[in-house]
Amino acid sequence: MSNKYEIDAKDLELEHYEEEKKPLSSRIDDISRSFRKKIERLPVISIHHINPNEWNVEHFYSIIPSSGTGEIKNLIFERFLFKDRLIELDVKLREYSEGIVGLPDNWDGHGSRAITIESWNTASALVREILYNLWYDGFDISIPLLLPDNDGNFQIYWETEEFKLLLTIPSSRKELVHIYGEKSGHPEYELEVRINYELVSGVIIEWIKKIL
Amino acid sequence: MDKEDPLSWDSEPYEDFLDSHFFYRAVHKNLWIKWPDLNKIYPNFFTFEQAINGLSVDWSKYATPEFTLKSRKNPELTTNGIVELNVGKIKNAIEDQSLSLTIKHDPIKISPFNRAHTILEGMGRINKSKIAIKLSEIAQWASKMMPIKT
Repeated sequence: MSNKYEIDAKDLELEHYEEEKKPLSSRIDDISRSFRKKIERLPVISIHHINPNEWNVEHFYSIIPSSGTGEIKNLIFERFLFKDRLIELDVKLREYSEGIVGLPDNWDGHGSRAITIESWNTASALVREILYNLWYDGFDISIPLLLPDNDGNFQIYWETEEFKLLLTIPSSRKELVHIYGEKSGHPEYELEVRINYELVSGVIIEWIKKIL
Repeated sequence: MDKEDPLSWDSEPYEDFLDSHFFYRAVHKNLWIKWPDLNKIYPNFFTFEQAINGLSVDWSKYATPEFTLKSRKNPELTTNGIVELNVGKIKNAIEDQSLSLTIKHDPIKISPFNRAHTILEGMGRINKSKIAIKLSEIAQWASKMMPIKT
């Protein structure tokens, strides 16, 4: 994927654009100023306005980040490139957590452990990190299942036609994460490791990139 | 179920687990309520920390899915479903996938008595994700024991 992104000016400040009743040219100027102000706070970027003499709502900016990480990456990601996917991810995560997060000890009547907000945050943050990076790098991977277990942990699970991948995420980041992955018909790609939480996203991202 | 003196129940040898037999296990609603497809079983249907000595299941030689359901605190299909695991398929998976599992009959001789109680030994923190996937591939809902979403 190129590091150059073309952004529809309409996307820059959509709410602002829709609510304001100013003339079109004025609105675009506001949008432009607002956007530039945001970008100016970021140290590593150049921004080019295509056809600066032709202001209209279909105008495009070209953004060229000199660094693909950190704040600019998140800004581009969240506001422009994958807005629909992020909404879908938020909806899915909310759906997975509702009625599950906050369950007390012994919710099954047979000794199960509480499912805490800390456990949920640990697992859901990992899902976001993995997906953000893969999507940003152009890998069209689906949102995984995020399911609780009796021990108060969460399992992150992908099952596609091409691969299965299961991460068992302990409720505490201090505990090791267990991972098993396999690609259909390719036993040489089997992945089975038990590693620190901080290393998980890197391992998973590299493995998925390798098998897809 | 069996009316014999539980103290007379012996652990039966591995050879008694026939390929045609099944193991049953209850799965609570909070585990399956978010599954996208209730017609299949997902890997979180059982876990390990409660199975330090092995995963507890009920052996079809001495149990039925109904027996396993009734042993639950909430024995309704709106709260618990019962999965069955074919013994022959488990044996094949152990061999084909090099799973470090063994099957051990472990009748419970104190109340609540359970002659069917069997444990799948060999699960641990190191191999749990692979075993969870492989057993989920074998597992299916026992007849008329698929849970009901309300």
